[in-house]
Amino acid sequence: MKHAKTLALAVLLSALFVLSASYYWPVQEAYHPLNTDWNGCSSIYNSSENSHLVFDYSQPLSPTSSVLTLIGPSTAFSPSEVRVIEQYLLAGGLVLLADDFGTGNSLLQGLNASARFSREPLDDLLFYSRNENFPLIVNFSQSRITANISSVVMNHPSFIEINDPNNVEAVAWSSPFSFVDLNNTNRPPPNATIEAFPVVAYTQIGEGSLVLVSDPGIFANDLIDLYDNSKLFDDLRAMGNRSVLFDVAHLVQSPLSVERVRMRLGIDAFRDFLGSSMGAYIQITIAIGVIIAFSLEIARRVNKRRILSSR
Amino acid sequence: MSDRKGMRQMTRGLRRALVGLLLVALVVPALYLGSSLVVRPIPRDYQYSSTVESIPDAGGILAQLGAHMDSAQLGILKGMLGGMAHIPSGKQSTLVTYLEELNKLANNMDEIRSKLHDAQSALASGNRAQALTNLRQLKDLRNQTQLLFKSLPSLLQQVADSYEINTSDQSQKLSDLEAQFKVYSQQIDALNARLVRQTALGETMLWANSSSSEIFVGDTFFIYGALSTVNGTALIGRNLTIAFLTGETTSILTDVAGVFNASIVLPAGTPSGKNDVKVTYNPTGGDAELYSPVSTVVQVSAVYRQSTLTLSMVPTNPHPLDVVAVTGDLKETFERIPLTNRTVIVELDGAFWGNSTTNLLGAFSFNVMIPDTIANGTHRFDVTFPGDTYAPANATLIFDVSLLQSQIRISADRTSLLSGMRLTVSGDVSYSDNRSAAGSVAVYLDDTQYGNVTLGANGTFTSSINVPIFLNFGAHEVRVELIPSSGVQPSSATVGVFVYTTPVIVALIVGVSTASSGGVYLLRRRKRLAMVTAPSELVESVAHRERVVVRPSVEELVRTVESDADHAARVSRCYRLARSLIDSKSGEETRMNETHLEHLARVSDAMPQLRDQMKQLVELFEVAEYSQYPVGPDASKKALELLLNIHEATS
Repeated sequence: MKHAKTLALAVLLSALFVLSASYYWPVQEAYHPLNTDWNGCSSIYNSSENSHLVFDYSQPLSPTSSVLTLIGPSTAFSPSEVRVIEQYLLAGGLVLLADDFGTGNSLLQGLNASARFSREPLDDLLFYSRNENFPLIVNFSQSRITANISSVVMNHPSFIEINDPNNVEAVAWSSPFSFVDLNNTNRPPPNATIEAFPVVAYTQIGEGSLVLVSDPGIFANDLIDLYDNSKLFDDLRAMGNRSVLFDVAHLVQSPLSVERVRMRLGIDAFRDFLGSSMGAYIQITIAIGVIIAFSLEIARRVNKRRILSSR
Repeated sequence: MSDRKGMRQMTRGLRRALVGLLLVALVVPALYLGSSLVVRPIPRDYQYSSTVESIPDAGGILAQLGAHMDSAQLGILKGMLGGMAHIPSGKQSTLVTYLEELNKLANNMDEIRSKLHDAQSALASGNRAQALTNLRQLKDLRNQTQLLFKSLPSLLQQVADSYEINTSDQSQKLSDLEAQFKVYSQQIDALNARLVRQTALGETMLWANSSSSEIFVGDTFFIYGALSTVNGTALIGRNLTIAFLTGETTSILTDVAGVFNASIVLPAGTPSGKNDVKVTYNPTGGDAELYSPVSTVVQVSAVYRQSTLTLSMVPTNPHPLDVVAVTGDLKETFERIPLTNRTVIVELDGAFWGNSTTNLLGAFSFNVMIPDTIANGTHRFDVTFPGDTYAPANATLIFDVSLLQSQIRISADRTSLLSGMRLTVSGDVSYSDNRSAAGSVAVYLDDTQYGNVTLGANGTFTSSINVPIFLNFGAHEVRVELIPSSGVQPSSATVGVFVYTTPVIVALIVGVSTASSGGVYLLRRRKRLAMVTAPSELVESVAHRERVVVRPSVEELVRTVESDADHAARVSRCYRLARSLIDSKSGEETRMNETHLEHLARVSDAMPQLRDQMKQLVELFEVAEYSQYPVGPDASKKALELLLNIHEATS
């Protein structure tokens, strides 16, 4: 009996250790809203007061007066997922699709949009920060998306191929010194086209808007505080009534990543609840209940002992 | 020995299990985290914070620029270099300095081209002043651009040295741009010469004055003056424009002496005080090539005549729905000249009520029915004359409106009641002028409305309220409010009632009854259980206060016990019979309040030989009497056996 109790305690401690490690080990998936490293998106996630993670698209998205951010998708969008996003757009939702070499085109194809991500790296000869892989974008047209923005820096972006300018409107372009760096040498290949390429564009779908940004890294922790990158996200967040839905269903996923994130969010929510006034009230109630139960048990045992001793 | 060995083996097994669990606890997370590292794809971004500055491809940049460095593509060149301000400040190389200077050059060249076009257009349309302004700006731009053309070649040479590149193409482009600049410079000189020549030929003079410096608005006055060349030659039949601050304009022609004299009426709306009246000569047609435009300003002071409004009303303290007559007049302030056919605006308590028009005597009147929705107290009429050639005027009339006072008397048919019962409230309403009240009253119980009641012929009312069954225990208030009707001051009256909440009373009664009967029951049950009375079979025959005990035989005992069908009852009877036998043996009377345990303790002391048997019988008795466990035939048989043993021991 004694050994069984010891074993049970050991199992419990082991489980606690595994759960603690799962909770405290940082999320490392690129562009994940809970990843606090340079390639995560925790800055924009934490700066959004009303933000939620989207783990799957089994249910319709709500509310439609928010912005759904798809930053750096790496798994293709299934037809059912495309349908959910399309319904969200038709109902007036705002979708931000930031992608360079990922799977954003599967969504664009599903939505029948007249634009695609080129999936070719865009460098700049002159307008860049640190090196040619970080092009500076300084050419903007007037729009709600680019309000109060004069420059943003991108991280090894692609560009947007607009097939029908009547349906898709570009609002930001790279400098006239930018080129496609097919050889990854940071220098234009012979006979390369050096010109401005669209890097931010939007299209209207139903009542909603789909905003395309040809680089997810622009919103990552490494770049978000540089130039006007955070203002660009602020503009989009303002368009979504400051409510942000972060897609994590299409990010690169480690094994059990979703379960680990769900557990972490659940524990965080529970901790927040304990800190709330209602949580404190319930804690006090449980404490009083435990004290009363212990008191009754002790009284019962004392009474039993007295009866036995009287015999 | 073997137990100790077994323990050691168990401990060893336990240790193994613990080590195994520890390994699992360490290995599982390690495997998980390791797998997450394995599946992580190649990052598609570079880490900015660990990236070092690179050397720009100066040759490529200059080649790209060179493709657009000609005068026809200055706009494109400007666009390419338009974002130079955003180049990071840390990248201050000779290349960036050169590009910034080149950006200025492109901007200047483009602006020179644009302003040359503007100046030539202004000159063509006769706007010589605009052309002169453009010329001044062009000269400044030319000076700045000349400096740039001097500095750029040396900067370009520094770029060539720093980056070890050939910049001859770029030099050639700069030379081409400089050639274009020289063309622009010549055009600036030509423009300058043309404007100087026009100035010498066409200078004109214009002077003007007014017949009075202070003018009443609406009165006629004169603006007069003359137009000539600087040489004194009168310009005959030229059209002059006279403009007021209000935006109104009028035209006049100069006569044979170049003189003009315009009869002017200052329009209503002219700002009071100093006003500029501008007289302008704009040459048209052939004159545009000969004479320069000229203008002058005459300052006049606009004055409005004062007006006064008076106002009165009858009656001065109306009731709602009374019709009051408001009269007044509007006159010039000093000479009391009636202002006829003027519209005045009437407002009641700040809200537009209507307009009225003055007659030949400047008087106006209107009747107003005081609205029944008006509140008791002070109100005001505001009458405003918005002004025309006379200054605006206004007057205010303050008056009091008194509503009829009402009084409510109320009584209830009881002062206290149980909740759920019906409460009847009655009373009457009267007005201060002794009229019978009409309308209805609203009945409230603790701010909850229970309906409206229409007043009877004499202003009486009666209302019944079903007091809610769960209304709180305690004092409550019934309030009757007169529903405001036309011109009557609302009033209310209250009456207090004490409510006993019926469910609480019922619960109290039930609780007390249950508690008391339960307590009595428990007390009696405890006593009954504690007492073990002598069975009837052993009849205590008390006669003459002497106690005779008849000792039963074994058969009688068995028969008595087996007369009970239930085994639990048999066990209890065995115990009672045994206790009677022991008490008979010891000669002590049965103690009514002694419990079975106390009796056992006493028997153990007095008759130790019976202690074990009696103890067994007590245990059987406890199970049969106090527990819920079923008592079977074995227990009753055992109890009978113990009884017979005790019978034998006490014989």
